[in-house]
Amino acid sequence: MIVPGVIYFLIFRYVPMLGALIAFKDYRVLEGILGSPWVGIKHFQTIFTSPFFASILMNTLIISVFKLLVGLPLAVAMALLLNEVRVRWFRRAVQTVSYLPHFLSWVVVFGIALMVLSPSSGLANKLIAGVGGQPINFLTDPLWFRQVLVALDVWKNIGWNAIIYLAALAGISPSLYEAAAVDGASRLQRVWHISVPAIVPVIALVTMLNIGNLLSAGFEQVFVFYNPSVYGVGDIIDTWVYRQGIEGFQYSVAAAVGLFKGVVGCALLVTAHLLAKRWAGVGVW
Amino acid sequence: MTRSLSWEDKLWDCFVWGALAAVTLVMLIPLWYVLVTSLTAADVWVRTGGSLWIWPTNISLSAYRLLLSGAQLPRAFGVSVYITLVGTLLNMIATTLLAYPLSKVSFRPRIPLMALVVFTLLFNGGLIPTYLIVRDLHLVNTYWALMLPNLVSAFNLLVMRAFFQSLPPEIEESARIDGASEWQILWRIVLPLSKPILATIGLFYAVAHWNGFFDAILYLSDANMQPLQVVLRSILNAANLSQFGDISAATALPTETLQMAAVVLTTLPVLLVYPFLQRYFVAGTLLGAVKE
Amino acid sequence: MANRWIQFLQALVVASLLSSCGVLGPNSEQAAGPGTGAGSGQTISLEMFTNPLASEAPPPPSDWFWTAGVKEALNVDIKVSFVTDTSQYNPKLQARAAANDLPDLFQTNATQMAQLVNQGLVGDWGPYLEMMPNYVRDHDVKAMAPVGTFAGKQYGLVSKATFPYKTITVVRKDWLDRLGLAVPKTLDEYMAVMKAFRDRDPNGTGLRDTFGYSANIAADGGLSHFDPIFGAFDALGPGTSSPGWRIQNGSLVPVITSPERREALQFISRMEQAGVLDPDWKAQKEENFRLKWKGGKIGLFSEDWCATLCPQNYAGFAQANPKGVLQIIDPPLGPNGKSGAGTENKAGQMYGMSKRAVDAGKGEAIARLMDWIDGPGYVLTAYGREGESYTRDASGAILQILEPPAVPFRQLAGWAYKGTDEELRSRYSGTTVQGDGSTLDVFTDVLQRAARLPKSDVTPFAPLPPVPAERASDYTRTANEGAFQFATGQRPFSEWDSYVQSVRTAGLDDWVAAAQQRGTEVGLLK
Repeated sequence: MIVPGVIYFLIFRYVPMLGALIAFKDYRVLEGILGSPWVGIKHFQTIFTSPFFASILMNTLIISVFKLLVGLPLAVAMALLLNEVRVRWFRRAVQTVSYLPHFLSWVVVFGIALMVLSPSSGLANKLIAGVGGQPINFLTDPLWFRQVLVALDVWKNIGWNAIIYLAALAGISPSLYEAAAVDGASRLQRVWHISVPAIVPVIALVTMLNIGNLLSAGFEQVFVFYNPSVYGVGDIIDTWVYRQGIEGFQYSVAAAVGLFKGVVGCALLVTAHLLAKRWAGVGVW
Repeated sequence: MTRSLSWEDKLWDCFVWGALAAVTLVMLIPLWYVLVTSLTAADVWVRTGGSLWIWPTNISLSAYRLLLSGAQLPRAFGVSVYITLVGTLLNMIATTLLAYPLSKVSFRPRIPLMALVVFTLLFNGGLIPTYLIVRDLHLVNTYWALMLPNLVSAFNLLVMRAFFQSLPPEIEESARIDGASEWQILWRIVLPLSKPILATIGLFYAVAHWNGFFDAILYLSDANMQPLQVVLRSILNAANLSQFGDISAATALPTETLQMAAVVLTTLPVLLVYPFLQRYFVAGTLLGAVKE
Repeated sequence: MANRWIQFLQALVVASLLSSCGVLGPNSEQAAGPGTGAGSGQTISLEMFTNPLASEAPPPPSDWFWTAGVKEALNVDIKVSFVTDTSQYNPKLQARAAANDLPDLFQTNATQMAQLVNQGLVGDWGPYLEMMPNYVRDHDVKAMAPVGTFAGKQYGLVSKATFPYKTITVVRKDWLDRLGLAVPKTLDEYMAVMKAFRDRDPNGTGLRDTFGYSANIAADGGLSHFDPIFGAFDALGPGTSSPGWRIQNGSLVPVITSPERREALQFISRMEQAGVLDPDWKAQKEENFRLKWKGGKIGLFSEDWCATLCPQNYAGFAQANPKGVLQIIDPPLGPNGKSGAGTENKAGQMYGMSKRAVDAGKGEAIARLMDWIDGPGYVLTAYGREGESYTRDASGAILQILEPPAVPFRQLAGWAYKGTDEELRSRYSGTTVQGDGSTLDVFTDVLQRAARLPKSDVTPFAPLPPVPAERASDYTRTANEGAFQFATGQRPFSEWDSYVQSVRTAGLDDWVAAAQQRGTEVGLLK
C-alpha cells in the first residue's frame, strides 16, 4: 500500500537531496554534481560573513514569530466562530469571502495596499487626519513596516488557514453538544470544552510545522513590499539570497542557505515536538 | 429539536454574527475593489488614479475581452483543468495510501518512514538536482513533470495522518473481527468517514495545481501545453514592457485593470467549485458510525 | 513480517543511491539529435530559444511560414522555443545550462554568457563569421565584438542595438502656459517650476493634488527615473549591472562613489525637503509611477519616450487629461553646464550557440541562418507576409498590421531588426494628437527628437563585468540603501566618506579590480 508513496519520496525527494551537495562544491556542469570540485564551506561563508547576517536573521525570526503568534490564533478563532453559525447561507457566504484573498497574488495586494496606505491620498491616513493625527508612512516607516506585513498576511490567509480547523470541527458528533446543553452548559462553555479540545491536536501539528519553517518568513510578500527605507527591519534571509542570485548561477549559495535553514529548522522542530509531547501529549510523529 | 432560545443564546449569536460580519467586510472591500477595477473603463480608472471604491461608473469589459481573445486562453484553461483533475487524483491516492498505514501504531516500519517524510519537510535538493532527475526520467516537456515531482506533500501527509489517528479504533476493530482486509477497511470504512479531511487536502492539492506556473515554465517548452497562469502572466508582462516600442493592443490598457481581470478569471472556477466541497464540512459525519 | 519490510526498504534505498550516481554524475553528451554533418545535403535540425517580440500575443502557429521559409532556403528544420513569460527567461536558460541541455541557438546577456563560458558550454563564433558577412556588416558585429569576447574568443555574437535611445525629459506644457512660466533650462529653474507645480494649482481643481516630480524605486533598491538630475551633475551611469564607469588616467573610476554623485544626491535631497516630490516615490513601483503622470498628478518627469508619446500609450493620458499637453524638453543644465537625459548603450542583443551544437557540426548552418535572416529572409522575419502581417502604402513603405491576429507572425522580428530609418519608421509609426490639437509624428517629432537630446554614451563600457557574484547581495544593499538615505535626507552628507568606505569594502573595490582586468583584456584601457 505504501509503495507508490515511498517510491515517490525516494526518487523525487531523496535522490535530489544528494544534489544538495552542491552547497559544498563549485558546480561544474560538465562534471556533474558528483564530479565537481569541493570548496568546503566557502558558500556558507558568503552569508555568515555578511555584515547584514545578524540583522537578516533577526528580521526573519521576528517576522515569522509575529505572523505565527497573530495569525494562528485568529485562524482558530475564525474557525470556531464559523462553526457556531447554524444558518447555512451566512456561513457559506462568510467562508467564501474569507478564503478569496488567498488567491490574490502579493503584487495585486501591494497595489491595493499602496493606495490605501499612501501618505498623501490614502484612506488610512485620511482617517488618521480626521481624528487629528499626523500622516503615517506605513510602507516606508521602519516602525510600522512589520506590522503592515503581518496584518496583510493575516488578512490574506486567515480564511484559508481556518479550513483545516473547520475540517477537524466537522468530525465532532453533535450529540456531544446536545448532551452538554442538557447539562446546562452555556454556548461559550460548549465551545471551550468540546470544540477546542477536538482541534488541539491539529493546532499543535500546524504550530509545530510552522516552527520548523521559522526561517522562511514569506519571501514573495517581503520582496514585493520592501524598499530601501525598511531594509533594516524587512530584509530577510530569502531576500538576501535573491539579491545574491540576480546575476545567475548562484545555486551553490542557495543550496548552502537551504541546508542552513534545514538544519536550524530541524533543531527547532525537534525541540517543539519534545515540548509538545511533554505538555500536550501530541507531537509531530 | 426545537428549543426556545434563551437570551444567552441570542447574545452569543449576536456576538458570533457581528464578529464574522466585521471580518467579512474587511475582506470584502479589497475584493470588491479588484472586481470593480477589472470592470472599469481605462480612462475613468486612470483619471481617478485608481481610487474607485463604490461602484464602477463606466463598466467596460475590455480587459476581459483582451484576455479571452487569443486562442491560447481557452486551450490553457483546458490544460489547467486537466492538470488539476488528474494531478489531484494522483496526489490523493498516493497521500492516502501512505497516511493510512502510518497512522496505525501496529505498523512496524512506521518510525523510519515517518523520519523519511518529516526530513523532507526541512530539506530538499533544490532546483537543479530536481530538474536533473526529471530530465533523466525523460519527463521534460510532458505533463508528468508537473504532477510527479510534487506528488506527496509532507505537510498534507502529516495532517491526513493526524486525522486518521483521531478516528475511534472501535470502528475498525469490529470490521477486522469480521475478517476484512486492510484495503477493505480503508475503502469501506475509513474513507467515507474522512470526508472533511479528504475534501480539505484535496482542495489544497487542487489549488496548488491550479495556481502553479513556475514548474510549467521550467519543464514545458511547447507553447501549446502551457497552463492558464503562464498565459496570463505573459499577457501581464507585456503590459509592463510597453516601452519596447512594437505596438500591440495590450499596452493600451492600464496594467492594473488587466491584472485584476486576470485575478478574477483565475479565481472564478475556484469560487464555483468550493460550494460543492463545503457540504463535507458539516458536523456529524461520524454519527451512527459506532455501534454503542 | 517486519523484517521483510525492512529488507524491502533497504533494497529501495540502495537502488536509489545507485541510480543517483548516474543522475548526479557527469552530464555526458546527450544524443546530438538528428541531422548531423554539415554540407552533405542532409537536413539539419536546430533549436532556437528566445523571448517573443510580443509576449501578450500567442506564439506563431505550427504551420508558420517562417519555419517553412527557413526549410526551403537553408534545408534546416528549425524549432523555435519561445519563453512567453519574459521574466522567467533566465531561470529557464540557466536550468537547461545546468543540465547541459543548452539549445543550439539562443539569446542571452553578457553576464549569463560569462557564466556559460566559464562552464565551457558555448561555442566560438569566430570561425563562422566569414559565412555570415552580410549579418556582420549590417549589425556592426565587429564593433560590438569586445562585449562578447572572452579569453580572445568570440563566444557571444553581439548585434548593435536596434531599439532607439529611450529616455526623455517631459513637462506638462499646458501647466506651464496656465501658470505663465517659461520652459526651465537650468537646475534652479527646474526647481522653481516644480515648486510652482506643487503650489499654484496648475490643474485648476482647487486642491493641492499635484506634484513637481515623481520617481520610484527599482527592484534592486536603486533610485529610478531621476536621470535628468544625475545628468546635470554628469553622474549618470550607476545601475544594476554597473556602478557607472569613467576612465581617468588610464584607470576605471566608479561614478557611484564620486563627488558628482554626491552633489546629485544633495540636489535630490533638496527636492525632497522642498516637498516637490510625490511622497509615494519611496515605496512605489514603476507601474504606480506611470499611473501618476498618466493621471495628471505630475508636472515634470523622466520617462521612456514610447511609453509616453506613442499613440497607444498616450491614449490613457489623453482620456484622463483631455486638455493635457506633454512636451519633450532638454534636461536641466547643472552648475558646470553639463546635462544628460539618460544613458545610451549601443550594444544590443547577444546570441550564443551551444558547444554541443558546434561539436555536432551545426555551426555553419547557424551562421547561414543568421545571414539569411539579415538578407533574403529579412522581410519575412521582421515583418512577415504581405497582406497577412503587413501592407505597403503608396510610396512603398511598409506598414505593420497591428491587430492581434497578425502579431504572432512577427515574434522573431527582434532578431532581424537592423535599425534603418525605413525600419524604424514602420515600427514606430502613427500620429499622436495632444490636448491643444497639436500633433506629433512619432518618428520625426518624438523618436528623432529624443535621439538629439544630450545623453551619456556607455557603450564603451559594455564589455565590463557585473558585480562579483559572491559580493552581489551585500554590495547592492549597501550602495542602494546608503544612496537612498542621502537622497531622502535621512543621512547627513557629512557621512559621505564613511559611506564610500563601506561601499568599497562591500564589494566595489573587488569590482573595480575585476573590471580593470577585463578592460585591459578587451583593449579599453591602454
